[in-house]
Amino acid sequence: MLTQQKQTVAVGLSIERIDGIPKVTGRALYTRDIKLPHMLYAKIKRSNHPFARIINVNCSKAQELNGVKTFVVGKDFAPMSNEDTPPLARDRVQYLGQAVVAVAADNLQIAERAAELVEIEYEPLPALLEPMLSMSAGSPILSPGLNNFRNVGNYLHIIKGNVNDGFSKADLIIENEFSTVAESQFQMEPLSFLARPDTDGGVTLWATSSGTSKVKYEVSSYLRLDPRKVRVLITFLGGWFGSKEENHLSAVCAALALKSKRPVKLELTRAETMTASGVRHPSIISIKDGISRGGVIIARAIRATYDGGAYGSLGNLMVKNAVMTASNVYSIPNFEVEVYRVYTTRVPGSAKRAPLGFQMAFAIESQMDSVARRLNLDPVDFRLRHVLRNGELNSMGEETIGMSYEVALSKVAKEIGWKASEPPLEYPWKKGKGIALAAKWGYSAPNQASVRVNADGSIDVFAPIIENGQGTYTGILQLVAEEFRIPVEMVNIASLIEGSSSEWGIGTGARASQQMANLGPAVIAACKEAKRSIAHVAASALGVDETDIAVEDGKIYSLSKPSRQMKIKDVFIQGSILLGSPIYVPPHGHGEFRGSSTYLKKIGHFDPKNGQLEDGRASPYYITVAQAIELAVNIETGNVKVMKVAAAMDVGKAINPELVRGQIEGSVMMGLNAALSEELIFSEGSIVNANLADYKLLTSLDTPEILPFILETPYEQGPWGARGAGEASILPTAAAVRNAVYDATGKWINSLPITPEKIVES
Amino acid sequence: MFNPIELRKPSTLLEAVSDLATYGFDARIIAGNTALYELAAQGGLDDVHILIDSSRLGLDYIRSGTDGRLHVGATTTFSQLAKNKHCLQGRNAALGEAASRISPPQIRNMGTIGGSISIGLPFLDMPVTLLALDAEINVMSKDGRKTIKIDDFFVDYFTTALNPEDLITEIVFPEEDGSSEKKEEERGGNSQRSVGFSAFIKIGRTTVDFAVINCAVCLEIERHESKSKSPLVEKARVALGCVGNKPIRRRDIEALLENSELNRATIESAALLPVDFEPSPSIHASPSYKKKMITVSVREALYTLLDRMNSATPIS
Ligand SMILES: Cc1cc2nc3c(=O)[nH]c(=O)nc-3n(C[C@H](O)[C@H](O)[C@H](O)COP(=O)(O)OP(=O)(O)OC[C@H]3O[C@@H](n4cnc5c(N)ncnc54)[C@H](O)[C@@H]3O)c2cc1C
Repeated sequence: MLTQQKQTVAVGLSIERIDGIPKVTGRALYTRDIKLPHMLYAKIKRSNHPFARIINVNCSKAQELNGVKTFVVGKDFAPMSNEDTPPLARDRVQYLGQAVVAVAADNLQIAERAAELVEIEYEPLPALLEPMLSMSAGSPILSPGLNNFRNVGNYLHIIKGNVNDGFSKADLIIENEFSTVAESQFQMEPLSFLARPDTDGGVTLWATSSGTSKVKYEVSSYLRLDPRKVRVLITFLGGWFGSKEENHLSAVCAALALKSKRPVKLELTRAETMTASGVRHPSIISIKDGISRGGVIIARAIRATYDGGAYGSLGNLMVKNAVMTASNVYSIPNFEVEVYRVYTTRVPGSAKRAPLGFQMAFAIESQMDSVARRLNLDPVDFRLRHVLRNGELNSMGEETIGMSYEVALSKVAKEIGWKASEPPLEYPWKKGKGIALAAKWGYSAPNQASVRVNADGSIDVFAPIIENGQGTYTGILQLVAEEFRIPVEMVNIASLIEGSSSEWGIGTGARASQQMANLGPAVIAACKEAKRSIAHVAASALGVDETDIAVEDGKIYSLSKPSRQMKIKDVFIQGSILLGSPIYVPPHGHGEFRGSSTYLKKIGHFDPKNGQLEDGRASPYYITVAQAIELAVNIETGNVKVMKVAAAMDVGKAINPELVRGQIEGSVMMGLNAALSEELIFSEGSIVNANLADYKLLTSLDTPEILPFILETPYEQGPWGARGAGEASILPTAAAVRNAVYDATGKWINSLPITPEKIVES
Repeated sequence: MFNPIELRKPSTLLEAVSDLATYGFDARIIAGNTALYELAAQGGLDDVHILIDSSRLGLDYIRSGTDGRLHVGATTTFSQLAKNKHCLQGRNAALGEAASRISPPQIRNMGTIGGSISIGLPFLDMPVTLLALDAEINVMSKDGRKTIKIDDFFVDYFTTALNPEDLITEIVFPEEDGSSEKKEEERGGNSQRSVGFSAFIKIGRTTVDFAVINCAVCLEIERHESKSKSPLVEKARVALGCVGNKPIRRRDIEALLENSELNRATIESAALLPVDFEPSPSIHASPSYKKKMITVSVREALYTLLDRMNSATPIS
């Protein structure tokens, strides 16, 4: 209680990130930096067909090459569910670029040459490159389990009220269709893996992956190994954004190492990474609104079709994301959303920052503006008319708690000068402003952490933290410093040196913006437990009850009689073993003080029949985001210059405000990229622009002024009230751009990206 | 796979051309290496085993020669061009503008004018500029020196008029004041000479990008005393990139401009001349969009030139 009222020593302060200097000086360790003695290099042979039966695989020519050590093929792995991408294709390939054979050799050149020499005989099958085609009757079924579902791998349907009733009572019906394209995550670091065979017959893996536990359990099942024999280390990651969800390549690397009995390194090129990481699901989303005479949406029906590509990894989670995005923010009495994730023979749809929700938010927030403008209503006022109030139920029947829609929207509108009249720009530039609002879901999964107290009062933290650039090493460190009320320099994040280990406990890792919300409480609980074990030992020395003891700033003292205190080092065994001097054990001495804890918050599930929430909540919390954008359009060339973005995000509590602002800025830039530029272009199933010259990204020269605003409505269960900060701010950006382009030009562009050509030609 | 076995470092032009003659198709000049490495990655250099470094040949200069013409050495970088006063004004302004629009800065610091035209890519910014500026390419080989007119230089994708044993030594630009002698004769002893202006326009998708359309225009106008009169165009060169296998000239626009006064009406009718060819499609832009951008870029170039002419001090 006492500590609650004191000023914080770490939480809420923008302390310098602990990985900053190691990174800018090049000393931070990444998977690619690690080399082991006698290490082999691997290369993957990939399919050059979007859809084909594998007739024969012949490695004999490659085998003859000097320096070639080992091959692995699909049959070397336990068969998986239909959902998952197999590590290597077994009987057939389902997308162009799918991994079929892996080879390990003495060096990369030999491995590359060997991969070229591997001969694969295919019987091509008719490719299914469009989801609509794939869903239509008579299309070949991509996965045996999908017979009854016409290639629909995942489906969710939420109903509230009765939309048909609503439409019949409506005065006006407005229906629009929106579409989005495949994008790459385009993180800086291409995927890399290193596997070392260990003396117990197991393997140690360094993997560019988003979480230690996922790799450990997936690889052990692919390889039919006891999970205890798969140890995973994840070093710094050079960005993630969803690119490192697919762990089948970890299994390939491990299999090569076990088979060759040598360490094996597998490093993907940029182009390979773009295929192996999966892509942002392309989507077609139609929204039909029924509007009353008073200008209120009384019915809304959304039908969203996402191209899931060849496999369904995470498909169930993904469609849920879409539903959670659609069901929040607005209160609409009659509501229905149907989400399809459809298999095609394209690169699998995977995670990218706010997967599936991003597409949904683009569609909904575009629709909100189209409707408002049609009714001659101000888009901000129109939204405010519909937002869910706290306490109200959302479209899934979940209570709205701690959301700040009005505050966030009003804040960004004010900052951008929403209603201000401004002088026009010089020809051919036209100014426009756009706004959008959204809610990002959270996620729940078990996390474990432990801490060790040292005699000098410093703390070592062993937690499976994934640092992909967002700053979580620093954020977790701040929680620990705060819990012991010690300077941040007194906390050692063990992961900083060699990465996080799967052996420190279960960890969800960095995904779904939940690391702080789920690992944070485990860390805090571990600290509390360590303090309890100190109190237990110190109680008799101080002659007070255990519960009367506080551990703070290197001191142990009685809360009721504060003069009774001792130093942390006094509860430790003192002396030196090595120098042979006698070991001095103080009367209350003790060997080690550790605390460890597991945190899991249960969430509810959808009834597969009617899509209603069966129990509890779909998401433990949501994050409010609003953005207002000012831009200029060159009406001759269609070029868009974004000038200003006001971005508000309610993170519950900013453990480190500067890092949160970094997440807002990064999300906004990624959102602008998706809005204006990014698109993976396919031809016959093959990506034709898998390079940075043709896959166009905005650069710092295109970066507008970004004004990040942090809102803090606490989430009760979060550490210090924190929710999450990683993805939410990408949700509103594309729609805000599209709405601003309309404001400038009078043109509605309903498909991403909003390229200069689309603006000129529409 | 590209597998070079030797890097030659000639320090004289003679050594360089003799290396080129000895190794022929087996060798490549390496300048800034900003295009070569990409070519290698794409498998375009699998037969090349010897690289000949051009950095010690003393070819990084920009100077105004005794002939009154501007001489630019082949290994001059874009950064050098972008800040040299000879390339920023008058008839050669497009040269500096194009160089500064090449992005990003790393490429401007390493990439060279010689490399930029040798590679034979029709969408780069230098080829179209040199075409508008009526440059001449000075080339040396073991057999001696020759000059290739820019109109004859570009042939096809990845193909120029160069032979494998040719080394570009420099690029030469006409006199600031136009090619004067002929004109003086034509004018029957009238000593009035023409004055040149040029402009470069690039339309891309983002700030750092290859062009979707690039356009360079060079106009030589009659030198006149009063600003009240519209400038009279004597000679026009209007060049476009990104439209086909090599940069092209819009001779229809040139013909319309020549002997016309440059004013609003001329500019509009020049820009609006129908694009009677189909620009090559790319994954970044359709022919239809490119056609519109041709109109936009020509118009913008001409208005820019009119502005420049009007703000230039009239010389009597
Ligand atoms: C990221 C990136 C962005 C770029 N952006 C732009 C842009 O915005 N605009 C643009 O116009 N260009 C752009 N470029 C292309 C760039 O202009 C070219 O790569 C550059 O001009 C090549 O020059 P270099 O000196 O690097 O040539 P190199 O790569 O060294 O050589 C290119 C070719 O020219 C030959 N060569 C070089 N010098 C001579 C010589 N003296 N005689 C005969 N042959 C010679 C070489 O043998 C080789 O075949 C970009 C390139 C990159 C990588």
